[in-house]
Amino acid sequence: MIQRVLVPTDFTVNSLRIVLEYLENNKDEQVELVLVGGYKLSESISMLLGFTLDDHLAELQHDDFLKGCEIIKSRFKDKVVEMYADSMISKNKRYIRNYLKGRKFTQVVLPDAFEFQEVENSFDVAALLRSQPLALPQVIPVVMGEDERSRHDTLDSFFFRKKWRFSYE
Amino acid sequence: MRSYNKTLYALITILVVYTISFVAFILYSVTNFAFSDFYKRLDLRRDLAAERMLNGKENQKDWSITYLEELNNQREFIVEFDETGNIINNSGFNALLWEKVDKYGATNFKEGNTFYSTKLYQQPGKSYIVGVSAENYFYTHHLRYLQNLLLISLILGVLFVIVVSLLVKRSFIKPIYGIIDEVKKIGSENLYLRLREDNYKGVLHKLANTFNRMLNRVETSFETQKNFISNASHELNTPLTSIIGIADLSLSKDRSKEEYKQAMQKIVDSAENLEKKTNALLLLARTGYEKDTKLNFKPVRIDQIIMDAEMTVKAINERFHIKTDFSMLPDDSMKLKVNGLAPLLQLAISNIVSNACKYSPNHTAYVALGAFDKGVIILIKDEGIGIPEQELSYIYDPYFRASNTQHFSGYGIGLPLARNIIKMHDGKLSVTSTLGKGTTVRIELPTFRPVS
Repeated sequence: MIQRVLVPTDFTVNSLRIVLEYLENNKDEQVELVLVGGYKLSESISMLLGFTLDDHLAELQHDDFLKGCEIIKSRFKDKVVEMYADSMISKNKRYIRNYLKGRKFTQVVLPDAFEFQEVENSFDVAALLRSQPLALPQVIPVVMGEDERSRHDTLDSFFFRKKWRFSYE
Repeated sequence: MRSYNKTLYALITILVVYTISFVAFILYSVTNFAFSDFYKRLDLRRDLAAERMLNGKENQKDWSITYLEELNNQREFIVEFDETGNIINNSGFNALLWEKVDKYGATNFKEGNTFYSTKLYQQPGKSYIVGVSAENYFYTHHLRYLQNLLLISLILGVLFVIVVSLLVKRSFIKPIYGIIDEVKKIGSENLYLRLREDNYKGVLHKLANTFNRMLNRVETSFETQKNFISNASHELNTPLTSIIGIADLSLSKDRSKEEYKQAMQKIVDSAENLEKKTNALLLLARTGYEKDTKLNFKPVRIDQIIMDAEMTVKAINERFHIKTDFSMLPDDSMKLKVNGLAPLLQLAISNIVSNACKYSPNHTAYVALGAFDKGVIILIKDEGIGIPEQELSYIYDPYFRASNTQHFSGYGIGLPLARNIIKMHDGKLSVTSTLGKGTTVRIELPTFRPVS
């Protein structure tokens, strides 16, 4: 059975480490990854009429983030059936419950320690899910570990992680 | 420019001809209408006159005048004539116009501003021509007015077309002159100059962009050619040093046959390496940056090239360490194939890797490889001295060396050369760095796609 997995993200390459940690530690089952970012919709009429999810997601996902996703997809070609982004647009308890139910998630990945980058109106999905007394689908905790290396290139965080394999030295 | 003017003049001519024919058509139609309508009115009056004159209803004249408006200068006439066509009796008809009258039926004709309508009427033994003549007020006054009006509007219209066309032409040509002026400023001594694309819109923006891309290629090609000798000496020096070192070492004292064999083998390896590099550089010099079909690009595995490049770097300096992260290698090895020349790519990568090792206190370079949908990404990272931020824009200039590299040997050739090679392969090379913390070089190369 293909698992539909909610992975919290802030649409930075760094946050894709959560996906990698999850994929490297999960069993050999096929997954459909949904990268979910939090975005609090403002209550203005223009936002209400003009907001479209596709445009919003296209704006958030930068080139490097998309490349990172593609790298993950080609790395875990057999495991990852599909991988796409989505947004939670409210912190409302009912909304969250309906969101999880409606999208039929079977697993939720929650990193133990990860600092999400905050932008205007965004919120931390992982913290939100953790704080809600809700019946979540199966929670998969991932251990992120320390992130010591200095980063220059945005894709740096993606490679050169802990426990990386040296194929040749 | 001349043909441009020709087209413009042709267009103006077409517009003028169109306007003139339009005006002529209007004038013709209105005149035609005025004539036929007036003749119809004359015919009616002629018939009434004939009725009155020939059927003895002369006292009914009032009737026609009551209901029919008298035309300008309206006159009625009756002409009696014999079988040979000679006038016998004439009442008020200008005999000079007798020729124009049809003696067997009805005629309409015009003499000066006077219009005539005549018709043959026959009574036993006698033939009459009854006619009415009148001046056409509409023709003489309104139509003349219309004619003048159209003439003035025609002249104004033509002037308008010419002025507007010339203005449009100028507004079209002005930005082109702008581009011409900008391009004129670019010479071999300032090939780094580019056209300001934002100043232009639409097609001209594309044109400026195309110019800039062409200038990029020209500049790269120019630099490559210009620095070929220094490139070559830099690249050829390393294997030569290694050959001389091995030979010196083996000659320093008597050695066994086996040891000599080993030394010779090493020398042969280095010499082969040298040959490869010479060929690659010659190729680079011959072709410049321009992607040429003569370059025999083949699908090559990029991971293999990275490993070979690392071997090369380690062979040059044993203190150099390379840590490779292949954890993100794709499942599908086809995604690792790029279209290119293995020796050139290897040269580019080994240059960057050896730079990374050289400028790091721990002499360690970190290399990673991953594949996205349309290409592969190679990251080469070090924890070395970094590049000052304000100098980052100059690092691709040949011979440029950052201000913090005085204690390191080098010529400032490796990175520009690597960039040229990557560009030749339709790839991208970018450098990000933090002073004192390290540098990351990112190479993106498009994946090989078999032509289906």
